[in-house]
Amino acid sequence: MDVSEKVKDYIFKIWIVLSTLAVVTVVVFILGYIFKNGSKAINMEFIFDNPKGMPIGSEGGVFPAIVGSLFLMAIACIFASILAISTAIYTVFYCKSNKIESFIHLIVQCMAGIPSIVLGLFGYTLLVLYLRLGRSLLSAGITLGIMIFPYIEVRVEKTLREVNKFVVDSSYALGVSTGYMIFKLIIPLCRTDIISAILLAGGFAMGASAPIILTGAVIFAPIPKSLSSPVMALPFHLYILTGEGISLEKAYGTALVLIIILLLINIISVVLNLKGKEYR
Amino acid sequence: MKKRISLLLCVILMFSIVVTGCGKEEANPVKEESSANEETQETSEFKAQMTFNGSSTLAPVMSAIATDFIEEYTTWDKVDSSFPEENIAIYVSAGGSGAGVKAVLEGTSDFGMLAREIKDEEKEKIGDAKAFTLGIDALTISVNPENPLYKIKDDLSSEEIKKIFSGEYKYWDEVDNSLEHKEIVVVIRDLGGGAHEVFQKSIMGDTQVREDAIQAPSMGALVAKVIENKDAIGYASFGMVNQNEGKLIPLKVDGVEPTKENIANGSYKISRPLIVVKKGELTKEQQAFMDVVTSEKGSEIIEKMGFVPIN
Amino acid sequence: MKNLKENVFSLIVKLLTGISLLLLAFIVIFIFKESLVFFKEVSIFKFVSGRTWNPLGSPDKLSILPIILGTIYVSLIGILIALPIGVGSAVVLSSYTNQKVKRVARSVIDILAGIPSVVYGFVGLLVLVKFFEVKFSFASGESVLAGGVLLSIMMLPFIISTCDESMEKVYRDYSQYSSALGVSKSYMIRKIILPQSRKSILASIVLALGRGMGETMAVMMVIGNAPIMPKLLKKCQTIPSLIALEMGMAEVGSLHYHALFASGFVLIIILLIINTILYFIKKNIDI
Repeated sequence: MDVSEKVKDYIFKIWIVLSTLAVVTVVVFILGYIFKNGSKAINMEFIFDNPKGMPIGSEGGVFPAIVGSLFLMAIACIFASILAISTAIYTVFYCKSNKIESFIHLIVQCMAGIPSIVLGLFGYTLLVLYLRLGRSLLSAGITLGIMIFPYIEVRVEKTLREVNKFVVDSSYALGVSTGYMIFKLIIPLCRTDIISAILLAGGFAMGASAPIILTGAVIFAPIPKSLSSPVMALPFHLYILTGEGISLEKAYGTALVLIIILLLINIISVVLNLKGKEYR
Repeated sequence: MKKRISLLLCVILMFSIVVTGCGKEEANPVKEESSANEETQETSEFKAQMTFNGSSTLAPVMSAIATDFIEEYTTWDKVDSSFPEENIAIYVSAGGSGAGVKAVLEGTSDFGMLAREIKDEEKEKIGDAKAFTLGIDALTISVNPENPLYKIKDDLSSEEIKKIFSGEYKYWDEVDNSLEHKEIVVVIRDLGGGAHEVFQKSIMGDTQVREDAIQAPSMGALVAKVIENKDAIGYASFGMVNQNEGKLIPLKVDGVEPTKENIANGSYKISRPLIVVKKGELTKEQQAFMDVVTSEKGSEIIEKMGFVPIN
Repeated sequence: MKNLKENVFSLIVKLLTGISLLLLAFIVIFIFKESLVFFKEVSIFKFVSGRTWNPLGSPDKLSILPIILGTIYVSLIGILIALPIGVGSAVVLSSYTNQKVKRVARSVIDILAGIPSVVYGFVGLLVLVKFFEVKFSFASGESVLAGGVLLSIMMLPFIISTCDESMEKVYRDYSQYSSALGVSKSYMIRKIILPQSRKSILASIVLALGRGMGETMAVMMVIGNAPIMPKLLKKCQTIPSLIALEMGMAEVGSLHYHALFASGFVLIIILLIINTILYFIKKNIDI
């Protein structure tokens, strides 16, 4: 190789090494930073107690926020997965024309692109005001559900398509109705993948704060008793603790709790993914 | 099986939307009939929960009073034996005084919390407004303790404050020669908020604040900024200064020190009332809670948080 | 009997799909309608090109040019930083690592993508902004740069995973041939994989840009929220952060309220354009 090639090669190698180092450093730093600072704040009391102190949040724990976040995630997942799974089923098995299929894809893509704060605006005006649901678990949950709908749909569609063609073709050949095939054959095969997709999307919903600021999150609330009560949520609580300068220590703790829960969800979903691969 | 589950879930979801949506109106006639048998009259349904929305300055106060209230009584029947045995639920959220008015107008919240006077057009729009003044808060002009300004002069005239906040004085050495040539970091509240309006009226007049001033979304955020930046100056609320003793240095304005007495008697000019407002009559349980808020206990908490209670 | 079940099932599926699609249409129409009220009062041209945003001054000034520019500027910085780092890491991930490391690395990337944006904003505020203030003695560390750096960290996982996918495919196709011909790996990557991956790199840019411009919380916490013309080291304001901050206090029905919707609408239009480009590019890659 001539000299200029050697130089280019050298620069190339430096570039990719530096890039990888940069990424690794960033990841290690962010996770390490939160773990180190947050672990000081975490103890049994923090997880299970209500926020206390003056101003509220500077002492005590974040239990209502944890419960609130979990409930929000549950509602968002239920709402989104019903719609997303149906859309995926329709697109893969029932849709006859390519144009409609592309159209649906376009719509789903666009939905993923709507900024979460705009969805929050929409949720506020439609759910909180027009439908008089008020700032509640339901309004916030549905808004989050709209936000994660495209993620579930795309993943589920991918899963359904990857199903062994053999199963699909032989079903058709045997005259099995599409509904039967989907229900008794495909869904059981894909079950774990679908659940893992829903879980991941749920984790995403749990971490989002923009859509819930206007539709249901409050600074102080007990554990939600009904669908129509407002809730506390971990990401929003973190935002308030930081923004108002209430308690840095508690903020670290909240961030850590949030990340740990998300990590758990991630791990569960990866495990499910691995188990799912065994089926095929 | 899955189809039936999703169908069922779908139906449940739709049902729950309808129920919670109409629940507020439907529950009325039902509750009235049953309670009419027990009581003499209950003109409105009993709401075990109430919501407060508005000023981020008042929010911690209401949260604190609410926590105490819930801890002491837990269920409504302990507050007053004529109330049913339901858990007390009080929700507080903060979005600024403007948001408080908006929430009351739009009915998304029972009470609005304001850290300023209710404007006339707001009173008109609300119509039947019931207001409770809980105390007075003042806006101090505060700097970071590491700012040498305090050692040189602990008093700023309204003119100087105006020049600093408008950007006419851009660097600290313009305020006083012995200071460093560092840019003044001006921290204000969001332009639409009650706090800024009070500041604008009492100090700035017609002059605009400098365009690149940091607009903090809440008083807590403003205070956090001044605490962590030694070149910062901002109009931190009196209550916040007390809650963060030592981390903020309030300056005198026109020779008047921001103390409880000066604020109460009006000689400190940048002050604002802390108000809770509701549209229409209060229900009995709301009245019960507000009675506690305006009582000695409530004033104690207000004072502990650093404000000047109305009593 | 079977027929009935079948029909009911397919009907439900079609119905739910229809609802989902209607939902999106509903959202867009709703935002459009609310913004329209605004555009009747203030011409869209003035809205997009004026330089002052002061909804509560009198008369109120409602123009978002600096804010639009701020949104684009911050995302642009983010991409400029994230792209080289992301592509470089994707190269290493796809071509220089074995299966085990790949699995671990991909999970880590997923974790990075899963960190909520408030947490990023939180860390950004405490680390980045502080860093700028201490090391470079900015008067205040909130700046376009802080927002850009933070966004770049958030964009990294998207760029890496998109590029990694396509690069791995190309690598698998060509690695045997080039090693048989005695070509070094780095040469193969430079001359074959990178040019082949151009389209997916482009797609990842568009994806990350879309994500960055819509990002609310993290950016809001570090850019200073001053609606002035953006300069690299000065504060700025982005559309999502504007909406998040002012929505709470804009009275429903007031001009301010509709102006916020209008700015959301402008943001959506920009994003729709970007998304459509992405869609067509992706179509071309998968040929």
